[in-house]
Amino acid sequence: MSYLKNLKDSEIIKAPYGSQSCLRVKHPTGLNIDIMEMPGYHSAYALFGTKYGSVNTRFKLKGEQDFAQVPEGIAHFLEHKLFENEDCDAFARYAQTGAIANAYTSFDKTAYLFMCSENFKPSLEILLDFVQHPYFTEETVQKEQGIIAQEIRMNQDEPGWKLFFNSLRGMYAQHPVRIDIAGTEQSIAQINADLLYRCYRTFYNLHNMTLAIAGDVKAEEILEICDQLLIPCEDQGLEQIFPEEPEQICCPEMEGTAPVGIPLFSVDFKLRPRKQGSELLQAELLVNLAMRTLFNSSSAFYQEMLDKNLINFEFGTDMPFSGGGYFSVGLGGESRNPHEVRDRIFEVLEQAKAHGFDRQAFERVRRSTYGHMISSMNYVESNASMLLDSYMTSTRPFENISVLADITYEEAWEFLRNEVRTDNAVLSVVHA
Amino acid sequence: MKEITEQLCDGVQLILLTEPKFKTSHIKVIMSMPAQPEKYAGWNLAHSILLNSCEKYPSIAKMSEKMQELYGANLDSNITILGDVFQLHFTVSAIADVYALHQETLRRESAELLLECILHPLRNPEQTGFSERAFQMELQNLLDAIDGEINNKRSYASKKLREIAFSGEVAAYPYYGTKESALALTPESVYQAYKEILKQSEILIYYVGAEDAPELKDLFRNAFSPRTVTKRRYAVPSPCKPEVRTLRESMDVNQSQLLMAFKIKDTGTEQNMTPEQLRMTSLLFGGAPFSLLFSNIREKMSLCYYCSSKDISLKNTLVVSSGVSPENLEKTKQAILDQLELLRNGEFELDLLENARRYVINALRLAGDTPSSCMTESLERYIREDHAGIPQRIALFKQVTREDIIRTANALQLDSVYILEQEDKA
Repeated sequence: MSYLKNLKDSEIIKAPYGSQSCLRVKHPTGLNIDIMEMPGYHSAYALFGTKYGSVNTRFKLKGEQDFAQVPEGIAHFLEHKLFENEDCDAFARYAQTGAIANAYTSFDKTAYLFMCSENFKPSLEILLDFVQHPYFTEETVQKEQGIIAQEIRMNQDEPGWKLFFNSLRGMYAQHPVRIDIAGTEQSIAQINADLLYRCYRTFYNLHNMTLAIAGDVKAEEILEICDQLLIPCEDQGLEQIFPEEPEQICCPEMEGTAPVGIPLFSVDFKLRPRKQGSELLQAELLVNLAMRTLFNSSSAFYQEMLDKNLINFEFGTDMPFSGGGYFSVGLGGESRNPHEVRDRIFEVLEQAKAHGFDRQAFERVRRSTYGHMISSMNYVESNASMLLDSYMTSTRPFENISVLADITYEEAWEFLRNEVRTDNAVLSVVHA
Repeated sequence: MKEITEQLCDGVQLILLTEPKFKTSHIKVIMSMPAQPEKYAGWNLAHSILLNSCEKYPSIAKMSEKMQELYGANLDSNITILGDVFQLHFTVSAIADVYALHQETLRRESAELLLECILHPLRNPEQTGFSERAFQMELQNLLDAIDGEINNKRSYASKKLREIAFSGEVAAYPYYGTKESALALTPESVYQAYKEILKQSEILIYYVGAEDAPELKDLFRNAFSPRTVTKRRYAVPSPCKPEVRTLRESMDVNQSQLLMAFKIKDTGTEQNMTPEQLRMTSLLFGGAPFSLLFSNIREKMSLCYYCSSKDISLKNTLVVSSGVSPENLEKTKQAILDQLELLRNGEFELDLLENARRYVINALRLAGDTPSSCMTESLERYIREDHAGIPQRIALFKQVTREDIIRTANALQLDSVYILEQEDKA
């Protein structure tokens, strides 16, 4: 409760529009805690996350001489195993509260979550408890290898997954972002209990973690539970390195096969990576707005491609893809002639870089982006995820709305001119 | 949440759900017709043509511009087949007026945009059919979607299981029709089919938003004429086959798909299974992370990455889906049957029943926190023809006993099996 009165430890952050706000607390254990009370809602959504994903494979702690190199897919493997402890698994415990629980691992984070409409307190206690108490044995690790091998095979049957990773392999020569989040059947075979404990101790340190909660909750109650259950730990001075990654892509065209009706394709532009924070957030918004102005469904390009039967309604611009040492933006869909679509995308882009683009269309896209940001605040899950992401990306909650309001057409054009290069793009195609 | 129902005219109802916590307004128009699979392709095509252009905004680009002006308003349509009823859903959503930066009336404008699409579609110069250009574009998209249905192996497998499990019933047909029926369509035939829906379908209009929306009453009253509505059949139990039907297909896949449909056989007693009993049985069997299928087949036996069950109560059916290694197919199939046997014999802890009850009650209470779940909950009440709200439904789940689970599990009979396996690469 003391945090609510002590501004040094806590801060109320308000959304630029409307009445939404959140409380950000730096807990004495080192954990970042973000709480958004949402009056009138019946549900609560909690995420306990760490800055640890599939790309974090080389690291060392303060005092250690050498960087450790761990097998690919270990962050995801750890996520699976953390649900088990010596007595029973976390799902069995959540079953006692009725909460719906899950977890996910991405390239740069792992998060454990639950959603409930009652029994919030015991559900939060389960979350904080099992994530802080790992239990791995060689036997349970071996069992999990079979399950994860199944998951890897399942992903390989997803043409979209194949398309995406082929594109990443075309863009990145060295960076571990080019490897499947779950690793490979060979890499996960190298994982053992000792390695899992090592990674756990390195990345599941509260100084590297956040708790994000939104919905029908009371901040005071949450902080009391945190005081009781969080285990203080020291900042271990985590250092990470990524392999030197050339600025240039490594292969302009990637091809794969899968049983698909119409070929899938994507055109992805490799961009200069930026450090997480406001600069990256601004860059993401600039490139997203510019690309959507040029290629979304209100653009001349889209209509032309539809008229020529070169794309269908599956076509769209993806959200920028970024993290530690990687940043790209892409677009794609289905086409019987992906090369022709790619060539036209390049022409439109070069023309826009040389002569600018429709300023009114840019403003419409900005307005529409603002609308989506407001709409997402309707949802308990998206608010909690926004809080988690703000910590993971070293930005402030709601900062995207303020940055969106401030950026200009000129900045977007300049970004396009200086950063989006047609000679640094990968066409990825998956066909039958 | 405040709920007001207005009968605008015969066969047209407006349901206004006001919930101050929301930052958006959602409006949905639902048109219900008796399901006729031979018309699915045309109806499907009509619903996609309608939202991509209209007389006032005669191209995708113009429509998109308008939606962007409305702060990224979203127009969406989808098709649902419930029992013997085919439904077209048209939805528009936009941020609440209070968030508009220049005092625009977004709720009214988005409702008008939706009505423009529904009532004034883009037609050919003779006004006898949809615009040829819009038709051709959507036809191509439909054909692409049909060609692309194998891209997602799980949904493809699910479609194939429906085909054999519900063979001879309307539920066997995909809502988008077949390639052959799509190729036989013309702009005129699709337009005529749509006019029939517009004139004859039962219409339900939902609004969910933070503020009262008095203007919607007149707007929609003027839009739709009275119509005669016949009784709809939503619950259409599917009969059990005398023998299990199995369909195997092979493809270039790494993981096999195993789907099994179980149906409630006629027990010869008057005591029918309730939807709550079937849902609870499914939750014990495979509908949650604590269920037998997940905890035994995936966690203990490590046979597959996923293995879950889902009930389709309107069809008295329960479907099990799993993704397995080719070498584990038969073992997994037997293990699934063994788990059902445990339920039939009552070999489960009472804790499992209570866990399922908590899980479903938790999920029910979550309804009401999103505009779409508010509409769905209200629509479900309408379909069930009762006024039992969430508290009453929770009470029904609280009444389900261990004996009900045993009885339901014993009434479930394996009906159909679909297997998608790795093709022989030799």
